[in-house]
Order: sequence, then C-alpha cells, then structure tokens
Amino acid sequence: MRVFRFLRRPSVAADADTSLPGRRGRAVAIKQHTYLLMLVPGLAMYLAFIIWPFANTIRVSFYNWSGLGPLDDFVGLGNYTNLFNRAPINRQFSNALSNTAQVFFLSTVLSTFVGLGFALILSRKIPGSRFYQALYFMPNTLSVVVVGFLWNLLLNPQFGAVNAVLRSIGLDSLARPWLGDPDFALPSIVAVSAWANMGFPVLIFLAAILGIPSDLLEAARLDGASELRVVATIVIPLLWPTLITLIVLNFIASVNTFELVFAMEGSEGGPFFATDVLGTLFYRMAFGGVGGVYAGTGLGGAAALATLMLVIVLPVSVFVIIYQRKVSHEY
Amino acid sequence: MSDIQKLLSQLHNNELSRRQFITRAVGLGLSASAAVSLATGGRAAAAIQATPAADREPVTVTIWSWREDDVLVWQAAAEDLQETWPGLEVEVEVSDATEFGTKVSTAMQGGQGPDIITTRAGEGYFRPYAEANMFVPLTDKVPGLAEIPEGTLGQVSFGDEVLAVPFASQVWVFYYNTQIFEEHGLTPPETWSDLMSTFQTLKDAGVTPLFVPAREGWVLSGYVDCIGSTYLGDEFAGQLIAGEKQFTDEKFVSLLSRIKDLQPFFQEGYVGNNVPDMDAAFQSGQAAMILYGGWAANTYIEQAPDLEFDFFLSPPDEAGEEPSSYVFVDGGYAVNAASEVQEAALELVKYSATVDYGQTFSDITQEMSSIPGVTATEENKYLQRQIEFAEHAIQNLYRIRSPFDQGDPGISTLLHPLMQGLLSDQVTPEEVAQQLQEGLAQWYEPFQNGQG
Repeated sequence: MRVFRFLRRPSVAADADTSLPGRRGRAVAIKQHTYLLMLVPGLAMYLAFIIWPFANTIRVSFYNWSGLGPLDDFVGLGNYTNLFNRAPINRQFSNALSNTAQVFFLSTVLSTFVGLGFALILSRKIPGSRFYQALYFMPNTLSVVVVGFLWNLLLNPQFGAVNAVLRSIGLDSLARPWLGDPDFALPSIVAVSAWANMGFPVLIFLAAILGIPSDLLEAARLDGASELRVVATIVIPLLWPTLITLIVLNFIASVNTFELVFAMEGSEGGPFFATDVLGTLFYRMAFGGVGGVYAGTGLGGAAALATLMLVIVLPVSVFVIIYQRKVSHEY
Repeated sequence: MSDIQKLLSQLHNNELSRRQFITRAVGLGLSASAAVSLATGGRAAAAIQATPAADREPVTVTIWSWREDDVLVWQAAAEDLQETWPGLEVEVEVSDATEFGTKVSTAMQGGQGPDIITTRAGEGYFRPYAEANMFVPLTDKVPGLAEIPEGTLGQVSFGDEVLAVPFASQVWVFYYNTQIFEEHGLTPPETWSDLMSTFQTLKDAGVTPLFVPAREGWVLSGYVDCIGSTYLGDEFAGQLIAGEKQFTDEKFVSLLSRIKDLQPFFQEGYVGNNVPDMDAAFQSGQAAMILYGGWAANTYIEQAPDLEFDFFLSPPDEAGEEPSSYVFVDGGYAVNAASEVQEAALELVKYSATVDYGQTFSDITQEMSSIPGVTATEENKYLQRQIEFAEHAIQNLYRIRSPFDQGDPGISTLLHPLMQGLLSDQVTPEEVAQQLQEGLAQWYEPFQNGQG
C-alpha cells in the first residue's frame, strides 16, 4: 500500500540559502514562511470557536455564576470540591460517573465488538452483503430524537412491540417496563444507541478488512490455515489499530453521552438517576433542568464538571494516539 | 348563513365551547380579538391611561411564551388596547416548554430577549434575573396588583418587589372516569379509607384503579402536594416552614408511606410509563383514575369528547372534615428592563392585571386566572370546580413554589427523583424524608438553627 506523506515545503525553499544578505535574503525568508500565513484563517477559527470557549469554561468554573449577571463571585476550587463533597450533587456526580463508565463498557461490547462481527461476516462475498451494509447504516441517518421517540414506543410496557413479541413467543417473564426499571433502563438505552449507530463501526471495520492485502490471506489459506485461524491470527491483529481508534471514539462519545438519554428519559436521567450520565448532570446544573427551576449550582458548577469531563477524555485520547502510532503498520 | 354565523349559532346552542369557537373563528380568518369579543359577548376595553393616546406611536411588542393559547390571548389584549394605544401590536413567539427557560436565560444574557417574558414562578426562578436587574420592578407600576392576594404575588416576586403579573393558578386533583364509577356503583370518596375501598373494588373488578406515570418525577411530586395538602394540613405545613417541624417527622414520613400504600393499585409496569401513556389510558377508559393537574381537563375535553370525567380532592381521614387543595401559580408576565418599547410592554402587562384580561384568559385557555373576580363560563364545570377547590387551598405551600423551592438544592430538585426511587422500591419513606431534610438543611436557615 502506498503511503502518502504530508505535503512538504517546496524543495526550492528548503535549499535556499537563508544567509543571503539584504533584500534578497528577506524575500527568500518571507517566501519560505508564506505557508504560515495560510494557516491563519483556520487557526483564527480554531482559537475563536474551540480554544477561547474552552479557556472561558475553565475560567467560569472558578466562579459562582448562574449564567446571568456579572461574573464576579470568585470561589476558587469551590465548584470542584462541591462535586465531591456537597450532597446531593456529590452522590449524583459519582452515580453519573459510574453510569457513564457503564455506557462505555456496554457500548464497546454492543457496538464495537458486535460491529466487528458484522463486518467480518459482510466482508465475505455472501449474497446480499451490499444490501446489509446499507441496511446496517440506515439507522445512522435518523435523528436522535426520532430514534428516542421510536424506541420509547417499542419499549412501552403495555403496548410496546418488544414486550408483545416476548409474550407472543412465551417469554412473558422477560417482558418488563424496560425504560422504567432501574436495572434495565441504562442497558436498554445503550442497546438502542448501538442499534442506531452500528453502521459506523461496521463501515470502518469493513474498510479496514478490505484494505488487508489478499495475498496475505491467500498465503495463509495455501498453508492450510482454517478461516477461523486466518481471522484470529491475521485479520484481527491487523485490525488492532482500527479497533483501538473505534474504542477511543466510543470512549469520547460515552463521556459526552447526552442526546439519547435526554430524548428517552429526560434531563433527570430517570428512573431515580438510573440513566443519569455526566452529560445530563451537566445539563441540569447549567440550565436548571425540568420546569426551568433555577438551580443554584449554576453555570459555574457545570463549567467545573465540563472541565473534569475534558480532563477524563484528554489523557486517554493522547495516550491512545501515541500507542496507535506505535502499533500501526504499512503493507 | 355564513360560516361565522354557523359557529355563533353552535356556540349559543352550547354545541361548541368558547375556546373551540375562538379557535375555529380564527381559522376562518377572523381576528383573535374579534373572535374573543364575539365569544364573550363583547367587553369594553380597559381604560388605562398613561400618556395621551394621540402621542403614542404604533409599536410592536414581542412576547415569548411556551403556551400556544397565549397567541390568542395577547392578540385579544392588543385589540382591547387600541383605544388607549392606537397601532399597538403584539408578536408572540411560542417555544417548546422544556427548552423555554434555557432559551430565555440565554437570550437575556445576550441582550436579545423579548419585550415581555412569560415567566415561571417562585423566588428561586426570579433570583438570577432580579440580581442582574433584567426585569422591570412592577410593584408601583401596575395598579391591578393591589387586587391580587399576597400569597399569589409572593410567587412572582423577589424580595419585596413584584417582578411579574401572575396569569394562571393550578391545582392538583384526582380525576375519575364517571362512567366507570357508575358501572361499579362507586361515588367520589369522602374519606381516605373510602378511597382505598374504591381502589380495591376497581382492582377486584379487573379495572386499573390508578394510572401512574412513574417515569415523570415531577408528577409523582404532585402526589405529595395533592395528598399532603389534606393530610398534612396548613398547621403542619406552617410549622415545617418555620423550622418547628422537619421532613423527617412522623407525619411527613407517614404521608410518603400513604402514597407508597397505593402501589398495589397502580397499573402493571407503571415504572415504565410517562404522561402521554397516562393521558391515553385515561382518555380511552383503560384506567379509572389519575392524579394530575387541573390544566389537563381541557386537553381531555378536546381529545376525547365522549369521555365523562370529574375531579375530587384528596379525601380527609374522618368523614365531615374538609379536604384541602394545593394551589400554585403557574407563571407570570415580566417586562424586559432592556426593552426598547418598555412603555408599550408595561401597558400590556398593566392590562394583564385587570379582570377583563383575566376573563379573556380564562375564556380562551379554560384555566384558572390568578386575577380575583374572574369567573368560569357556565358550560365549563371543570373550571368551576377548580375555582371551588381553590377556595379550600392551604396557605402554607410546602413544595412547589414554597420557600423550600427557593434555594439549592430545592425541594423539587430533591423530591422528583426520590419519589421515583420510592415507587420503584429503591428507597424507603424514611430515606426519602432523611435525604430531603439533609438537602434542605444545607441552605434553609430555619433548619440550620439547631433544628435541622
């Protein structure tokens, strides 16, 4: 496989003699660094819409602020310590953290690993594989609100299709109020999320599998390796970087989980915080949640939580990017 | 006969409610104010004079709300004020109720808010706006406030200053399907033990006695208001507010136990149901009773015209005792201090504190106006009933719009999830009470003076 290197500076610039005196030397130096000017528009956008809001979030996290009026009540690390010490927000924070971790582990299994399984099957030249690829990706095109509404109906305890199917095949004991049962509400939402987003990992894994040189696989088969052995000893190891990338993306998405929980269980992450994640807790703290009741924890506390969320995501992402570079391979 | 005349004929023959008449008349191209005027027999415009009408320029006042009916109400109000302010127009923007608070606070912070804001109620709601001086203080600017009871005004004030004119009051009630009650020979219960017997009779007959949307913590908190107003009573509620009693006292714990005792009469899988499920079950006659706010009555009338239902308040323990109701202000109208048309906005808000406006409001929305003197239309027995119930309201509010809802964490923030936990067997009544008390004692001063 050809590896494309990132654009280099023109060799003429690299070879230029920067020690040339006078105007010619300055002209060469300017020409040599013109590319830096090209970066300015993008950098300005990045600074304005990513770096500045992020820096401002950190700044706000040190203030007691409702979101209205002047930002003048400096509380130092008060908002951070509140998350760990002050009831009931400390209980809600640890619960949301635990639920977010559950979302990550469950979605890794349900979305990433099951997605890998589907991709392995679809990579075989079986009839209708193109159709199934499109079919698996179709839910990705639905908006989260539509998915939430649809599955709210399907999982309804009285007239939902899921319980109706279970009852019709004699599995009455498995029928339950999925979204109202504290033990099943979160796994149900993760399963719905996996259903809605399955197309993405399948697509990525499929592209990676199809990118493996066929001569590698053929050689193994000629040496008598079974299909299972080919998958276990050649395909999976070569998919490792892709798998890591998807797990990291899944980790970031899990920490930022909000929309589907909000659409299916509201901002309180009910029942009794069973589906409360860091995203819904942030929403409640920042905007006061249901009924517009003013939450005194306010934007300052929410900013502290958002900063902590970034502190959780950033090191993992950096670590994995470094690790991925080490294990990546070229064919 | 024109379409409008046909509608008028139907209105006079009681084939249409006033609200239905107004909606259809507007649909036929009639202006909202004209429709309201026809529906109510016409009323003179309120005579509120600040500066001479001739000196006033035509202006458009922007109003934000989460209530669809407000479009008709405000258009009618603007029409009524044409004599005092020629050319006064309103532009009402309605947004989703869930996101409304966020939208308003974001816009106000950015200086992009409307001229009139439909607010929620409670001191906690008003605090950030008051501290940032974003709402115009109304105490000395709106003469009509003098007629509104202090308890009501307290729910739209911050400190001593009234910041909004209250528009509607709400009450929690037990709804019951009268047909189902008749079929089983039941009558509205007079005592709590009657209520339990009623539940048992219905359950034995295979009818769902009470449909509970347990996924909605805010509705479950309404159970504490509705059942507690009769069970706890004004005296205990007053002692709670004064810090002389605590939420961990036996009386409050037994209120929670009383609510939990209703569990066997809930529908199967109740923890998985929400309000739309409850509405559908009650409207289709699948459940005999629900416990909900009076505001839903109009929706049920419109969506299920054949449904026959009525209300009752949570019954007392002893026969002959009076039940009490929990009445709270739904919201108010505030004027944006940064409004460029503040005088016109104030004119509209002043008018919203008059009986004329209140009557228009009630005629269109079929909800209880917060303005004293407003009466229910004859054909709306549900509104009449709510107004009767409001006369038995407890004065010491202990949950929604109460002093306990004005700090952080507020009682509603604490109670919504705890009630879900209680009814899904995650926490006991004692634990709910304990966590409530602990949360409130963090900031509620009467609980901090060696008593909390």
